[in-house]
Amino acid sequence: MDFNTTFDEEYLPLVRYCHRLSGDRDTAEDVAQEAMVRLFEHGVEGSSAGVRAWLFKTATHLIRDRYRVEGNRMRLLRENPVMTTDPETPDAALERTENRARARRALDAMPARDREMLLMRYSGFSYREIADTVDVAATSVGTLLARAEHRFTSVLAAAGEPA
Amino acid sequence: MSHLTERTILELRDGVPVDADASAHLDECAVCRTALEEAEARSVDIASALTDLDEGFDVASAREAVAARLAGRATTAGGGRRPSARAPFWTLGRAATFLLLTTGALSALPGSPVRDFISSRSLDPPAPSALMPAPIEPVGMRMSVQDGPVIVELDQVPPGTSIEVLLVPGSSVAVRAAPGSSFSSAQGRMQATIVGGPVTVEFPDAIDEVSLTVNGRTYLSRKDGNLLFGFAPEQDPEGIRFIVP
Repeated sequence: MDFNTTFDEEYLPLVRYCHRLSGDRDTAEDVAQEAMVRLFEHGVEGSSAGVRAWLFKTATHLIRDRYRVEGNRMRLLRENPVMTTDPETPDAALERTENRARARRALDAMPARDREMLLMRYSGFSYREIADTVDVAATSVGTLLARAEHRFTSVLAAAGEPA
Repeated sequence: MSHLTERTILELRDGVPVDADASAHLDECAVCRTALEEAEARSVDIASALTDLDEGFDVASAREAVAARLAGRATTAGGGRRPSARAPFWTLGRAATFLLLTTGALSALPGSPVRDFISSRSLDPPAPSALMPAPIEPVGMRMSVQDGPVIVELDQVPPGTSIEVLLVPGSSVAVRAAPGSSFSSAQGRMQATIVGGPVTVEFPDAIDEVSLTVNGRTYLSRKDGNLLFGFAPEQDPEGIRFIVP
């Protein structure tokens, strides 16, 4: 397994997933890098999809462990500066910041397992890979995912309404 | 046939194989087709909302950091599982005690081959050689504390350094590291400039409020009996171990 090729293919989706899951940029980078280190340390081999599934599962467990010892206290609504290469108008930047806060709030309002399932689904994983990571039966994923989606969109919609 | 379940609707949307009956039902049922369209629209909304969370990440720097971590671990761990900080002391101590007692007893016997062996050898310690390097003794500092908070600050810790944290009985805090490291202490605070590892930090188990800062970043704190991590530790059944990135 070539280090540079694997790293360049897998790191960005992995760190984005970790960031979405943890809500914290530093945590996301630490965990994604740790998962990459373990991948090469353990000499994990397999298809590209298999390697990616291994990385995401490892990262999910690392984040889960981290927040378990913190009493499952997710960091809420951590505001990070928007990094973009395109010039953005102040209104667009404000809207983007508000959208980000809403999405973060909706994710943080979800149970951990629902959040992991939702984020894995929207990172392109199959139901079987999701089931393997969150330790549920593959036949339950559709039902649980439907519930997670409804929960996310309902909080997202509520967060968009004026107080 | 009754309407499709939400699970089946999602499986259809996400390309999971479903019963032929379910597909056939969808062709005939406007209610379920609408439900599928709603699920597809919801999927687009969720993907869009999640994309809003994404930020730019520096892949090149991360690649370098991972390569450094890998190189650091290869140096620190020698490729295998690292032993715990406690086990070697106990194991080596017991082995040394056993050897001393056995050798002493045998050498006391007249005509003992051990006695002959010892008398034929110089009592001077052997000179270090490339095959048997002189052991490197860690240096460190220990400080008594009565109550919290206790703060340990480690600075200039090289990437890849292993830091083992132990909660030990008693009322003292201690730090050990490679020779060349320097230490200072003040009321409830110990500071160390680290030149290399492995580093061992001992916190007194009786003190509820402790924290460990490495290169300006809080790695661990303990408050009201709860451990909080600001940096992901290694999963080690015998203790808490960090590898400095």
